[in-house]
Amino acid sequence: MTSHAPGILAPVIKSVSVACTPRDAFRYFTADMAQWWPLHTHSCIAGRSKGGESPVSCVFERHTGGRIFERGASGEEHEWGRVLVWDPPAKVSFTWHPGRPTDTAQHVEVTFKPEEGGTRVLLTHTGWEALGDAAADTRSRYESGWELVLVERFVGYVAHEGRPAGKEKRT
Amino acid sequence: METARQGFAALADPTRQAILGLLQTKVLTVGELAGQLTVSRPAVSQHMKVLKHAQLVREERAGTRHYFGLNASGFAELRSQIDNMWQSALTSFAAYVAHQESVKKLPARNQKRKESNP
Repeated sequence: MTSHAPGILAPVIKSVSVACTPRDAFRYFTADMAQWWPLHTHSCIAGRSKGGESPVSCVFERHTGGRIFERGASGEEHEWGRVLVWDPPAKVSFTWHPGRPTDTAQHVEVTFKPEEGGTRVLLTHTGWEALGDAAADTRSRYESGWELVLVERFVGYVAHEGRPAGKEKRT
Repeated sequence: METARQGFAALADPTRQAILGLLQTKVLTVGELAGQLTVSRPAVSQHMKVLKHAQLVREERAGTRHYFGLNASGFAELRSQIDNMWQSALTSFAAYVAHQESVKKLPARNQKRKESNP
């Protein structure tokens, strides 16, 4: 992980344990994505449709540069992202911009680590750090002691206030 | 959904990222932002309109001056949508894996029964 900034710039991290080998977990996650992805609630077509329409499938192309996309009943495709790192069975990462232009893409990394009884799947969703970079740049250009104190206090405040109520990380 | 799309679109622009970066330290007026970014005031105003619409900044008035600051709840809402999506996806993924693995074990169990009961 690259950034540990709390609050609004921190990655969204989720994890789940599954009772299978990392190799199988990796394959289920990628090759079988259409079997488990909640298309009826989380897809571009479902998001735009008022009548409960869903895509017929989603595809995870299993190689670096591969596309992740959903396909509608009439064959139209909506890209969700592109594979950046294809490293089975340890790691896959991809850009993420479902229903949005590619320049709004965020970044998702999923790792598969063996643990007792199976595999720990850890998902890290980043992309807010662009703002962090801009902020860091700004800080270096306009650095002064009291401003840094304010930054720390603000980030601490947001970390406290900005956490969605009742939704803790699944660990 | 629509707000999220606006939120991510608003985040995608480098000037707006720089504006949000500056607003992390303190509230600023359009004039102050323009001064620090060497971008024209009308351009900053336009960016502020986008950021406000996406609920990433808040406008506060102090007398005749208008200050902008980050809207923490707007950011929290964006993050919460992402969080909910992956929570839902991973829960569904785990259920699928459990099902696949239980199916995989079935033939093995039948095999065992056959062996013990010839």
